[in-house]
Amino acid sequence: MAEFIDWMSVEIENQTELILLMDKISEKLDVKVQRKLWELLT
Amino acid sequence: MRLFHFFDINKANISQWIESYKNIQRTYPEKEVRENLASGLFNATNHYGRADEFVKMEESLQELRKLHDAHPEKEVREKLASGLFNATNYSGDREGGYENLFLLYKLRFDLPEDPNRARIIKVIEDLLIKESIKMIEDK
Repeated sequence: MAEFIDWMSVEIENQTELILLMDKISEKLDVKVQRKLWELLT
Repeated sequence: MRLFHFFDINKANISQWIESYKNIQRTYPEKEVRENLASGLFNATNHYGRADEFVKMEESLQELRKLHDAHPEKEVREKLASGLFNATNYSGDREGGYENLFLLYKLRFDLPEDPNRARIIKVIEDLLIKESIKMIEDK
């Protein structure tokens, strides 16, 4: 997952857009996966 | 191209046509020539996608990407966004589809004017979210 998040962070340079997109993605993820995703992003 | 009854796209050598147009573009590097090349590559992408020739579809799309990388102009970007939209529709879940979808998401506001544009953009955003969830859950 870390590799995927890194790739997305590079592709979407605008931090606000990245966070908004990740917010929508994480809504539908399992809580544990959500937590890991936000750990990787911050 | 399909509108011309005397022109049968199935008999045309599209690769040769693209190569010829690239040579013309080298000799005449004007923007107008480039726009025609972009339109031709978009048409080729569409034709190959419709014919289930996904390798050739991907090659045409790749040429369109290279053209946009070299000349990041609105007219070329519009064709690239439209080509990506069609390619995403044709290729579905095929390998490499996510990268096309992701680039389409980035270029979604460059799609040409259309009465359904807002709805199309929403479909692209929802599809990217759905496919991203799959990518995360698979890893």
